[in-house]
Amino acid sequence: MSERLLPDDEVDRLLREALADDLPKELEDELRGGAREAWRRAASGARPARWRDWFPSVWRPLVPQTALVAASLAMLAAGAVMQAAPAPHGVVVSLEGRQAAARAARAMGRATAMECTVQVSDDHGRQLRHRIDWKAPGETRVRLDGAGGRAERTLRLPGAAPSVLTRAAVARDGASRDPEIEHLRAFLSPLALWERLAAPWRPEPGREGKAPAAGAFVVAPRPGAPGLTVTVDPATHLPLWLDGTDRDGRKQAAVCRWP
Amino acid sequence: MSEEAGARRAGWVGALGLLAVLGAAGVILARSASTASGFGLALVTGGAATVLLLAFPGSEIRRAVGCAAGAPAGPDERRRAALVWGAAARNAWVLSAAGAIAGFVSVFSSESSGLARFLGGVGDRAVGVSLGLLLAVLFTIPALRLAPFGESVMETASPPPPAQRILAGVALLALLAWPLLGPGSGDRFEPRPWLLHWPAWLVVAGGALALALYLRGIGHGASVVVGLGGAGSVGVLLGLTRALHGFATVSIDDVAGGMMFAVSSGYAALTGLAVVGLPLLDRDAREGRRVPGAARGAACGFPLVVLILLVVTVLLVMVPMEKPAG
Repeated sequence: MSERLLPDDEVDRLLREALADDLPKELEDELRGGAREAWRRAASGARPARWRDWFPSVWRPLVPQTALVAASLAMLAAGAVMQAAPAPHGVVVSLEGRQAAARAARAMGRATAMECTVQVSDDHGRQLRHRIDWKAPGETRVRLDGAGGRAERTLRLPGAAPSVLTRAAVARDGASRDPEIEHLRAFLSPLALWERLAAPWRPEPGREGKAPAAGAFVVAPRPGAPGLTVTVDPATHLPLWLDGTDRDGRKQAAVCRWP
Repeated sequence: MSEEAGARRAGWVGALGLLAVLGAAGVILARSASTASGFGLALVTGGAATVLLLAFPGSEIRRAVGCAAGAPAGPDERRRAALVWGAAARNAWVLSAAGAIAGFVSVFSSESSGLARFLGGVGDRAVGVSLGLLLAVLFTIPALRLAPFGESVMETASPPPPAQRILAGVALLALLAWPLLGPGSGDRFEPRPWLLHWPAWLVVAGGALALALYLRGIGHGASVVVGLGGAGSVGVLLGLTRALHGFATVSIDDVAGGMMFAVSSGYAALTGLAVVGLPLLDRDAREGRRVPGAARGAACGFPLVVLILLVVTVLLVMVPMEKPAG
């Protein structure tokens, strides 16, 4: 015996069928057909929810049965077509700059020697040229071309930080406290140079999309802020020329070689 | 009688223990909290609460807190309380993943280059995600304690008042839209294209609707949750595939497009789960319908997919691409 309950109207039909001995033949056939249909529906289980049952009854007339299927297919098709469009320019430029910075950082971390000729303007506007030679594991010779003649310093500076947790090593180093070479701090070692370049990189205006072949980037803390234009060797990813202003706003230019 | 008093005392001790764990964790997390982590904290705590308010009346939530604290309750009430705590734990977990995406995009939008600085930015924003995970674990404990053994039939429950639902819905939408308004400029990673990449939203919405229509027989809430989880996972996978292919062929355009598609698909699906799927699922459960395992799996598994996506995305951005030899 089935445990399913029939709706009241179906039960009424069944009762009428059972008591239909004196009914006309057509009516009896109709009643029997109805009863069979009722049993069949009861045996086939509950009707699955219709799509528009999800909407409040007020909205149902506005949502035809096929509308939701059509909407889902349209959304999928539109998404598939639209995703083929190029990514937004700002995102590509930003990612390009990050990649260039990551490549340069890795190349500088592997460097065994660096020679930089740095040209800076002093407080009186005079152009001074200094020569810096750094050799692994951490010896730096600085030849200063100052107002009082030539001078030379030898410092101990590591080439790369041993881990990401020691990136402030340069700031702690005693060399930075020497007033004679304070303005050259960014060029005393590859690590110091990387610290100077650790700001967002952007392809130089007009050269977007051409990196890394062009390899010229503007490194600045904010768009429009004074920064350095860095030209990177496309083969080694090491910085070759730096031109711009230091953090105090003074003009600064350097040519670097990586033997 | 003395046994009952003992059980009630044990309940109070357990509840105090939970509060003590929460307090200790809060003190530890407060040391790491910063202005940057404030949004993550707001999204996880506020988001989990508002999703709960979309499905449960305030009175039922209050009774659930009382039950967890050891107040006497019948089997039906205990079952309802277990539902509330289980939903709160799951909401905190889902909102943690949404907070992780928002924080991740915020780091890209504001931090300069360099792994150390990037990790510093992630650390600044990790407090909200950690708090979400902590809340998920803590809320699971009362849910396990109150869950009745065996099957029991619940009486029909009335839905939350419309005013409560509207207020909670508006608050939740505001919280989820907040990251879109983050800072950004033409030359930096902007949050909007990462979180609101239209192709990804269309694919997730269309896919979720199609799956939900196909699965409608398993219940409204369950079909929507499984649909969103499935469509979101497919979107994440498609985006990652494109990004990885771009990485292999050194195509920055493809890497950027693929990552945006994947991240945005994840955020779209999590938003859909929080705003529509989870409240519908909870409503089904409150009305006594059985929640299929697939729906539970989708609600708990999809945030994990999103967290894995974020790890892969960090690698794709920070590891320099190299042209294949030859």
